[in-house]
Amino acid sequence: MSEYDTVFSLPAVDSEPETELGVLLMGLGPERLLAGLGVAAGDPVAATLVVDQLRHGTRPDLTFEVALTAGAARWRAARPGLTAAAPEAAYRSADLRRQWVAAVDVVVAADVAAGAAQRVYFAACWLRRAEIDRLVSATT
Amino acid sequence: MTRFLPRPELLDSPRHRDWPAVPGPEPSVPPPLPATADVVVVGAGPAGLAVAAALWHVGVHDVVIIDRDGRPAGRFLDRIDRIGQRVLRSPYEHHPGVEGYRDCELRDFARMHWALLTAVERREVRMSQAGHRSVVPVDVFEAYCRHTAAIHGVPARLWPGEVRVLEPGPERVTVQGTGFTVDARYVVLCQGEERRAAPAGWWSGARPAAVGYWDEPPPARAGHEVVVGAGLTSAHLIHNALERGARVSWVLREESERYQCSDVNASFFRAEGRARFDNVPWADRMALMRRERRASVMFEFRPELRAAEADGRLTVRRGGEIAAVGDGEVLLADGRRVAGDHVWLALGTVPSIGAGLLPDDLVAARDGWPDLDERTLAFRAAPRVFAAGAAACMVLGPAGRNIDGHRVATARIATSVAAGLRDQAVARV
Repeated sequence: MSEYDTVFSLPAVDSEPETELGVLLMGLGPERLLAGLGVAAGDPVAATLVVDQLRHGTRPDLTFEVALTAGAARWRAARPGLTAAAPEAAYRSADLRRQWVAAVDVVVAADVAAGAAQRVYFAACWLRRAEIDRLVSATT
Repeated sequence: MTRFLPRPELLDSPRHRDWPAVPGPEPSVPPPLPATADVVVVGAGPAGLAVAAALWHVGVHDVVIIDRDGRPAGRFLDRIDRIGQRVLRSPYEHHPGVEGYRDCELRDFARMHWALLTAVERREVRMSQAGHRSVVPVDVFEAYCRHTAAIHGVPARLWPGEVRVLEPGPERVTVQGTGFTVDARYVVLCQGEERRAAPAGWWSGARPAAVGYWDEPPPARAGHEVVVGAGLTSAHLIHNALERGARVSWVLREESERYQCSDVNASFFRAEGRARFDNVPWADRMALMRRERRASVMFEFRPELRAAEADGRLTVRRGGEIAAVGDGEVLLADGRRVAGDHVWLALGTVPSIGAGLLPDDLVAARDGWPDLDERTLAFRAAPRVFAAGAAACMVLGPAGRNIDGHRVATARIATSVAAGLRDQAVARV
C-alpha cells in the first residue's frame, strides 16, 4: 500500500464550466434535457435550475409540459442541420469530457444554437439523440 | 493508504461572492398567514428546509413555515458569518435536499457553478466525487438552500414570526405566536440549538465586563483575548483574534485539543451507527452521547494554531477546569489565572426540545432530551407534534444534529405525517 496525497491525482479540475455542466447533464434523463432545450436562453445553469423548478411545479408562469413542447419544436427544427454537421464516423472515446466536446463541435458546426444555453442543451440532446427523437415523436 | 494533509487553504473559501439569483419571477408579496394548515413547521433552518422538502415530495403541500427571521437558513448563516466561517464541516453528501426523488444534490449544484469555484473548491468537489471527505463552501450551501427552498415552494409558505405556545388536542394543534394563531393538524419543531450559557457558579450577579459569548460583537480593542471552549467556534474566534493582531489564551477543560474532520464519528451518518441507538437502554445511549458528542476542531486549523502556539501568539491552557470568570479574566480550579482584555465564551450549544412551547409533561424531558417515538419522531405524549434536528439525537445518535441527520429525521416525519393525512401518500416526482 502506497501513501499518496490525493491532491496530485484529482482529474479535470480545470475543466471548462460548460464541460463540467455538460458531463453532469449526460447523467440526466431525456425529458429533462428536452425541457431544458425548451427554456434554454442565455445562461445554461439557469436553464438547468428552471427545469428543476418546473419538475416540482413551483413556477407560476411556466409548466414542464410547455417547456417540453418548446424543446421538441426546437429539436425538430435543428435536427436536419445537426445530422448534416455530424462527422460520418461516430466519435469514439471512453472519456465523457471528450465526448462532450465532440458533441458541442457538432452543434457549433450546425449553427443551430442561439447562445450558450442552447449550445449546451443541443449538445446534451445530441448525445442522447435516439431517446430524444423518440420523445419528440411522442410530444405534440 | 490515503494521506490527508491539513491544508489551511481549505478554510479560505470566499464568502458573499456574486452568486446568481434563483431564476424566475420575483416572489409575490406573501398573503396573510393562514388560520389553518395541514402542517406547521417551526423554524426554517436546514432541518426546517429538509422537512418542507420532504413533505412536498410526499404530497403534503398545505404547509405553513414560521421562522424567527423569515429567511431559509437565515439564522444558521448569520451565526456562521458572525464567526467568519467560510466552509462547512459537513461534506458534500450532507445537505437538506431529499433523497430518492432525483432532485439536484449539493455536489451537482456546485459542479453546475464550476465557473464560480476557486481551484481549491474545485479540488474539494473532486475529492467528494472520489469518495473522500470534502469541505463545502458556505456560499455554495447558501445558494443551494435558496434553490432547495424555491423548488419546494418554501418562499410562498414562509412567514416571519415567533411561536410562543403549542396546544395539542386530539385532532389538531393550536399554534400561537406573536400576533397569530394557526390551527394545524400536525406540527414539526425544527428549532435548532441555542448557545450554551455559562454555569451559574462562574460569576454572581450580572455578567462581568469584558466577557462575551461567541455570537456577540467583538471588542473594539483587545490586545489579548481569552477563548474558553474546545470546538470549531473557538478555533474561529482564535483565528479572528490572531488576524486582528491580538495575543490569545485558549482555555481547554480537556487535557489536549482534539482535531477531527467531522464533528462526530462517520459511522453515525450510516445505518450501522444509528443502530447503536436503536432499542438501546437509555444509560448506554447517554454514555455514547457523552463519548461521541465531544467538541473538536476541524483538522485544517491545526497548522495555524500550532504555529501560533510555537511563536508565542497563542497560549493553550490545557486541563483548565474553570472555577470563576471575572472582568476579562478566567480563574482556573487549580489556582491559575488567565487574564486578558476580553474573554470569549464558546461553550457549545443546547438543543431546543420544545420546552416552553409544549407543557413540560408533554415534552417529558429526560437528561435534557425529549421523549420521542423512535419510529416517527413524534412526542410520545403529543403524537401530533414532531421534532427534527438536534432534539432527535437520542433517537438518531449524535449525527441527528447534523445536516444529514435532518434528512433521516425528515424521512420518518414526512412519511408519518402523510400517512396521517391520507391513506396513501402520493409521490409527485
